[in-house]
Amino acid sequence: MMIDALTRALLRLYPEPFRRRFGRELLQIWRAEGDEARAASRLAAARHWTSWCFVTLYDALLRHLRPDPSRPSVPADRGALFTLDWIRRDAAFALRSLGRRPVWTLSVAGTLALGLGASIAIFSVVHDSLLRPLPFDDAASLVVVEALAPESRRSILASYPAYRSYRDAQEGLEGLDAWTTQHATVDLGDGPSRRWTATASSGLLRTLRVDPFLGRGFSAEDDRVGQAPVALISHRLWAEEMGRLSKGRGGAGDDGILGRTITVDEVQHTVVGVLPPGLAYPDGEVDLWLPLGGAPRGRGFYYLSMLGRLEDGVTPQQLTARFASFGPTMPNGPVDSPIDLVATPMRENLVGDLRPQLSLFLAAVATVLLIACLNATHLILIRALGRRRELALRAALGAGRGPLLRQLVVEGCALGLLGGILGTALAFGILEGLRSLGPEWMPRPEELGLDGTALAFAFGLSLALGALLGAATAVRATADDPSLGMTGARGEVGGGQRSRAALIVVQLAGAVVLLSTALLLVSSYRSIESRESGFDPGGTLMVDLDLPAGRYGTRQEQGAYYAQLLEELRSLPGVTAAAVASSHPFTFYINHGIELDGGQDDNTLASRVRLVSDGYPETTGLTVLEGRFVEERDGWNAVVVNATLARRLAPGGSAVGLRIKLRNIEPETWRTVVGVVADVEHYGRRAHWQHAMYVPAQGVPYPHPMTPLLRTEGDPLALGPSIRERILAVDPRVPAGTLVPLDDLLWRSKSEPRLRTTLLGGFGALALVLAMTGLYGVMAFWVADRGKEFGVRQALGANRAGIVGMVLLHALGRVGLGVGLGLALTWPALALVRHQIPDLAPAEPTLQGTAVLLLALTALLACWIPARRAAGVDPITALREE
Amino acid sequence: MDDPQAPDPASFLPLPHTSLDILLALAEGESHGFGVKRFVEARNGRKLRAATLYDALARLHRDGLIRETPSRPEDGGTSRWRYYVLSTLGEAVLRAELGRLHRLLEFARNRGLATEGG
Repeated sequence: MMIDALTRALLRLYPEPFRRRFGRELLQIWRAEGDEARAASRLAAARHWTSWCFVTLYDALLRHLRPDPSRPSVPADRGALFTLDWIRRDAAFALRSLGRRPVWTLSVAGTLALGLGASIAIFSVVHDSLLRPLPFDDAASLVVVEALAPESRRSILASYPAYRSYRDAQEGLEGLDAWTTQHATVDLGDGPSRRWTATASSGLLRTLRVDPFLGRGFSAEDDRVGQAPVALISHRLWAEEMGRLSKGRGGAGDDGILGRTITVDEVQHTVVGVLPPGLAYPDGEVDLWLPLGGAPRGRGFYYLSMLGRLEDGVTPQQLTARFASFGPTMPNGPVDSPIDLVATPMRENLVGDLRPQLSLFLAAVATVLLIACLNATHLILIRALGRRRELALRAALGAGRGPLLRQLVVEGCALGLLGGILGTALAFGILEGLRSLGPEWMPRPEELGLDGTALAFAFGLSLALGALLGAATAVRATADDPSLGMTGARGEVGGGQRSRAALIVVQLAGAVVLLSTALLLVSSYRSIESRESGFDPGGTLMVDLDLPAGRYGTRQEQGAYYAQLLEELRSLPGVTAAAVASSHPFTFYINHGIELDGGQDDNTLASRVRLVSDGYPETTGLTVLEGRFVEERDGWNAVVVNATLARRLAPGGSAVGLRIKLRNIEPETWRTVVGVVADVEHYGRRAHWQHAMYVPAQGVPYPHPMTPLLRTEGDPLALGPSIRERILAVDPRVPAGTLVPLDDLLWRSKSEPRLRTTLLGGFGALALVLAMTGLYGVMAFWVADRGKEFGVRQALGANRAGIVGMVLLHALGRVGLGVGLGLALTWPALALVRHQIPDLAPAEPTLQGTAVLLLALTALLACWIPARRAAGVDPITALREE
Repeated sequence: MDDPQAPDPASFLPLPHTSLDILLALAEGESHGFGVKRFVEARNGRKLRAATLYDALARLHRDGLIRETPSRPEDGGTSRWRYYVLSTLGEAVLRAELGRLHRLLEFARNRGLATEGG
C-alpha cells in the first residue's frame, strides 16, 4: 500500500541507529493504531495519519539535533508542537484574508480545481491500470504465454494438443496452465441461471498461488477425460447460496456446500471447493471453475489462454528464447507449422498496448495543469502586487522577509487545498463520465474510482502546488526594493512585464499543442464514424442463448432445435428476418487453417470462421460485394469470404470460383468460394482478426452453439417479451439471456477511440478556456497598470482608435509568439502521438488551421476588451490619480 | 542479567516521568513497547509519543533498570516485538522513586498543600 510505503519513507528521517533499533516497532505501532483509527472512522484515520507525519518529522528532527537520546533534556511531551502552532496561526490568518476576498479566492481555487480535477482523475486511471500491484503473490513472476501467428505476429489462442506439447516441452516455468471462459447454465438447486465460467487446467490456482477458501482446488486427476465432473464456485456464488439457505448471514464455517451436486449445462458436477473472495483472474466476473478435463481436445479448436510462473532467476526474455530452442509448433492438419511462443509479464499483457494512450492522457493533463497554474500564479501575483504597499510597510517596519514569505506560502497552500477539494469533486464527476463512456478498454474497469492512494495524491499535489505557487509569487512580490512599493507608484512594476509575457506565450503554446492533438483524435474518430461498418446494425437484436450441451450434444439435435427456433421467431409479427450464427458480427470463436487449390503450400494462411444459417445477410445487413451468400443447402460445398481474405486469396483478381479446404476437418473437401462480402470493421484494441469466412452451419462436422439474431421493425427491444415467449415455446428449459441490439454492440466496440477523443477534446477545450481567461487577465492587468499612461496619451491628443491599436499591437506580439511556438511544437507532438497510437486517421490540415486561426482571433478578442477599456480612460481621472 | 555490583537505586532519583510511567507499566509484568504505550496512555489519559517511549526504553535498558527477555509470550504468534521486564535494580529504583514521591506527598499534606484525594 502506498501509505505504508510513505510511512516507511518517513521513518527514514530518524537517525540511523535509532531507526535500526526501533524502526520496525514504530511501524508496527503505527499500523496497529492505524487499524484502530480506521475502524473508528475515516476522520480518525486521517487524523492519525497527519499527526503521525508531523510527530515523525518533529521527533526525527529533534533526534538529529540531540543525537544522544540517553541524555535527559527537554521533556518531549509538552502538548502542542510549536511548529504546528505557527502553521496553525498562519493558516488562520490566511483563511481570514482569503475569506475577505471570496471572489478572488474562488477564481484562483476554481482555476486550480480545473487543472487538479483533470489530473486527479487521470492519475486515478493510470494508477488503477499501471501502478496498483496485481493481487497475486509475487505477481512479477507471472507470465502470459502467447503464440504468435507466423505472418501477422498477432497473438493467437492455443488448442489443447498445442498447449499440452508446450507444457511438456517448456523449461524455466514452474508450470504452464491454460484456461478459457464461457457462459454456462448453472443450477444450484434453485432453478437454472447463466453464469460466467472459467475452464482451467488443474495447476492454475497453484500457479497464481491462491488457496481455495474452502475445500480443495483441482487435482491432476480432474484434468483427465472421463473423471467424475467437479467444480469450484466463486466466493460470491457461495455467499449468495449461503444467504439463500439461511436467509441471513451465512453461519460461520458453514461449508455444507462442499460435496453438493450442482448442474452445469445439464451435467452433474460435485462442488469440491470455494474460491477465495475477490479472485480477479481470469476476471472478476467468473462464478464457476471447471477442470479442463471436459473441454474439447481437437486440434482445430484454438481457445486456450496460457499462464505460467517463472522459475527463480528466469526472465521473460530468457523464457521466450528457450521456447524458440524447443521449436514449438502449432498442430495444424497433416503438417505442424512452426510458431513463436512469447512470454510477457502478466501486467504487461494486461496494460501493454494501453500505455501509449495513458501517456497521452498524462501529457495532456499535465499541459492543462500547467496552464491552470500559470493562470493562478498570475492572479496571486496581481494580488501580491496590490498588497505591495502593505508588504513594503511591514518590511519597512522591520518585518523580516522570512515571515512574509512564510505567510504567502501558507496562503498558497490554503488556496491549493481549496482547489484540491473542488478538484477532487470534479475528478469524481470525470470518472463517473468515463464510466458511462464505457471503460471496457481498461484492464480492471471494476476498480475504476478514487481510492485512498488517489486521494493522497490529490492532497499531496494540491498542497505542493499551492506551496509552490505561494513561494514563487512571494519571491517575486517581495523581491523589489520596499521603497518602490511605499511610493505606491504605478506603472513601475515593469519587472513583472517579461514574466507575464512569458506566461502568455507558454499558455498559448500549450493550448495550441493540446488543441491540435485533440483535433487529430477528433478527425480520426470522425473517420471511424463515417467509415462503412460493412453491415447495417439498425433494428437487429442479438439473443444471448445457451443450449445445454447435455441435451443438445450432437449436430443433429442442435440443428433441429435451431431450425424450430428460427421458424418460431420468423413467424413473430415485427420480425423481418432471423438467423443464427456461431457468433455476433463483432467476434469470432472459430479459426481454421486454409489450403488454396493450386496455391502454394502455406501453413500460415488461416481465417476466422462464422457458421451461419440462411437469412444471415438479410438479418445483419451484411453487404454482399460479389457473387452470392452461402445457403444451408450448400453444406460442405461453398463458402463466402470477406474482402480482405479475397484479396489475399486472389490478389488483383476475383476470388469467386476459387476452391479452398478447411484444415483439421474430416473429411477434407474442396469448397468453392461463391461470394465476397464486405469487411466488418472492428475498432477495439483487441480485435486482431482480418480474414473472415462464412460457412453454412451444416458445413462442419462439429456442433457449435449459435447466437440467434433478429431483424425487427421499430424498436427492437419492444419485442423482447414476445421473443422470450417464443424461445421458451421451443424448449421451456432453455431460457433466453439478455437481448442486445447490435447498435449497442457497435457503440461499445468504438468505446476506446471515443473515450480518448472525448477526453482529449475535453482537455483541449479546457486548455483553450484557461488560456483565454489567462490572456484576458494579463492584458486587463497590463491596461489597468498603464491607465495613467493612456490618460496622458489622450490628453496629448492620441485618439481612441490609436490607443486600441496600440494595445492590440502590444498583445499581438505575445499572441503571435505563443501561437507560433505552439505550432512549432505541434508537429513533433503530433508525430509522437501518431507513433504511439499508429491506427489514427490522417490529420485534416484545414481543420487544424481553422482551429488555430480561431484561437488566435479569440486571443485578440480577449485583448480587445481591455484595449477598449484603455481607450475609455478619462484623461483627467488618470492624471488626478497621480 | 543484573549487574552484581548494581549501582545505588537512589542515584537514579528523581526519575523522569516517562521512565516512571514505563517502570510502572512493566511492574504489571512483561510487556513490549506497544503494550507499555497502551498502558501509559490509558493511565495518563493522553498520548505518549512512540519516539519518546523508545528513547526512554533505550535509556532504562542501558542503565540496567529493565532487560529484554528472550521469551515470547503468545500474542497471536505473529510477534516481532521486543519484550521487556523489570530488572531487580529496576524494581528497587521504582520502589525508591515511589517512596520518594510518597514522602514528598506526606510533606505537602502536612503543610496542608495537598488534600487526601491527591
